[in-house]
Amino acid sequence: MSSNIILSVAVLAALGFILGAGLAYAARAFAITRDPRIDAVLAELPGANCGACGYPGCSGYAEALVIGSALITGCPVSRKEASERIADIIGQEERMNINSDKLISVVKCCGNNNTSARIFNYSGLEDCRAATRFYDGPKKCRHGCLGMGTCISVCPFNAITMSPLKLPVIDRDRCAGCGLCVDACPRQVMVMMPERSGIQVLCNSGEAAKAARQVCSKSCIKCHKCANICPAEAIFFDNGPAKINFDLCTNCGLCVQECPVKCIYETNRG
Amino acid sequence: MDIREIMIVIISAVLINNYVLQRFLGCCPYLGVSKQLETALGMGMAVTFVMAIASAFTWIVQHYILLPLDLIFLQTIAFILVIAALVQFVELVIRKSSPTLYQALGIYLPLITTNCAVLGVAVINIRAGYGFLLSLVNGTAAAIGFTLAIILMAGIRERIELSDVPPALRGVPIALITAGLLSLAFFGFAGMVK
Repeated sequence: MSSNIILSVAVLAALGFILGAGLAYAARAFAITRDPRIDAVLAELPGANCGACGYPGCSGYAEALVIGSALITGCPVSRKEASERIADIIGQEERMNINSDKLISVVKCCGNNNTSARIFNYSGLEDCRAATRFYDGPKKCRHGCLGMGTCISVCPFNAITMSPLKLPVIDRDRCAGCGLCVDACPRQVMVMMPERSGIQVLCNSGEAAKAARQVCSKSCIKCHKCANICPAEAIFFDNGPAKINFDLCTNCGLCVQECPVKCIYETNRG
Repeated sequence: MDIREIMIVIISAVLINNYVLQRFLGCCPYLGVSKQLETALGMGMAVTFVMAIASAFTWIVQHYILLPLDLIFLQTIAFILVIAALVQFVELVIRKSSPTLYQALGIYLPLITTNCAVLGVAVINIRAGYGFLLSLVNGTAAAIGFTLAIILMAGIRERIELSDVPPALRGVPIALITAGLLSLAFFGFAGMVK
């Protein structure tokens, strides 16, 4: 009886020892070395894995940075301090291009269900990309937002919600400036704007006044009243709707009151 | 060695008594890794390697260590020891040779260790009284059957991903229903070899 116990213990011990030794050798033979800088860089990155840099997640971008095949300016979500620390870690001297402006996305359209005409009733996939394939979308304005939420579905930060009038609302606190919504929008209605911009012209259409009024009652009609009243001369027209030069704009808000169709808005943060 | 006997063992393990769809062994990695075709193929190959070598090693342990020393009661633990070491070895090799496959398999790679399909085939080999060569053949064929089943499942699941599934059934429920239907289809092979 006791010899049985000793024998079984011995056999199992021997088997375990042999297998353990084999594994120890294999662990040495198949070892992989990982550059410790990759983990240090990864700690500085936002960790949102949004993919705006073009790499598979933050770890993919960290690896590319350490190898040297990526630029430190590649991550639009990183703040300037983090980018500088990353440059320190990977030993890069060049700092010039690190941008200190945080960007957020803006929907350049204020034409909701009540103001914009429709050419047909659309009842297909609730996705702007699908709707655009069908005679360029149900909205009469060729440049306006379709309000079906493609931007909402691609935002990795849950920063966009749909208003009851079918226009996306962007939460400025949550928006990280990754730019995925801008790429996804099939109408190019979304643009990246500096966070400090407090006034926005919410119209994407550059049509002449008569044609514009037929499709949307809130369309910019290029009357130039905003440009005329702006004390900083920050508003310009280059063959399209009114645009604001944010280097000159002082957020005074005069253009907001002056616009006859009310397509200039003060964005949330005053 | 009778070639007919080998063919029967192969066809039985792959089609008639498919380890996943008829013996319902190895369902965990089957459902967990069958979302994409490439990862399913990688998992299938890993399982094939483990099952084949495990069949060989466990046969040797049974017939040269356990039987001569009259320690049959150690069968379960000795087999598990061998299989665990093998899976750890496979994990090391995959981590070195294909980091993308390693990432894709994730948690399911170490789960091959406690996979009842691997221990199952080892014990079935002993119970059926197969010799060394036939055990090896059975182990490999069982794994090929597993690979076949998981590839079919992955192909179907990739298409289901793009379909309009009722909200209550999305994800795991429709996967289980699909597995059931696949099992039903494989039942057509029953009675093929008398």
